[in-house]
Amino acid sequence: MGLVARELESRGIPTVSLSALRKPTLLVRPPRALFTRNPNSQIVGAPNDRDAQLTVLRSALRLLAEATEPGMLTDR
Amino acid sequence: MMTAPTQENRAALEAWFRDVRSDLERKDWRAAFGAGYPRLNLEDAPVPWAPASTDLRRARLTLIDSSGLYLPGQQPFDTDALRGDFSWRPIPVNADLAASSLAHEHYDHTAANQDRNSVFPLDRLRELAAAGEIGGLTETHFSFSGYLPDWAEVVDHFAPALAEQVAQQHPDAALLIPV
Repeated sequence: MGLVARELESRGIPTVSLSALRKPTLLVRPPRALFTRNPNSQIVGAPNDRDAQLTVLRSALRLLAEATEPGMLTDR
Repeated sequence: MMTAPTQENRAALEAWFRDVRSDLERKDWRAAFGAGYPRLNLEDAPVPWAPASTDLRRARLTLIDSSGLYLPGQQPFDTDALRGDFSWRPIPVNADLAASSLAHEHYDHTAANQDRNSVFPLDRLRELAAAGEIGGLTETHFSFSGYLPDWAEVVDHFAPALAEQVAQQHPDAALLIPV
């Protein structure tokens, strides 16, 4: 997915990526990535936990809006 | 432009596919990926950067995930493809996630089967759009099946072709969710 992020970004489309797996993300370096503490099988949040899912999405959107250079953030 | 992998990188990947072919055919992922899978390393490559608007309330987003989600009438992803299935399914913004299916053998589907939003949060994004927290969503979103060990094919063809489809949606930004 990091390679897709880089391709989109090189075409002028800003991206923000979630990541549950630190090592592969650090190797591919998507332009903006939010590390979540969720397992990748429920990377956005636990099933039917609407509030937790929204919290992760809002954090990712904040990173999208506020980042001024490539980098990663850890959620919470 | 994305930094192209070197010929040495590509040769190492092809050597790995030759070495682990029987492991991949048996779906013995532990044996295959334990045997020195040559990950693409872009740590020293420049990171492409497109500035994003700071006003999310005007931003239209496209969701892209790799959970292997597909809708009734769409073809399931090929989970037997040794190098991965290099296709995607367009997901209309008004899709009923409860009717969707998953084809991806590399993660536990328990959570996603209870609530697709755990991997493909289209309902949540529709709520954020309805509340005015984001400007909106594009007509089409995308899912692919994220087992794609052939990163050379991803770099050369898959990522450019998918990016072209995303670009046709004219999003202000894309939210990418690897599963």
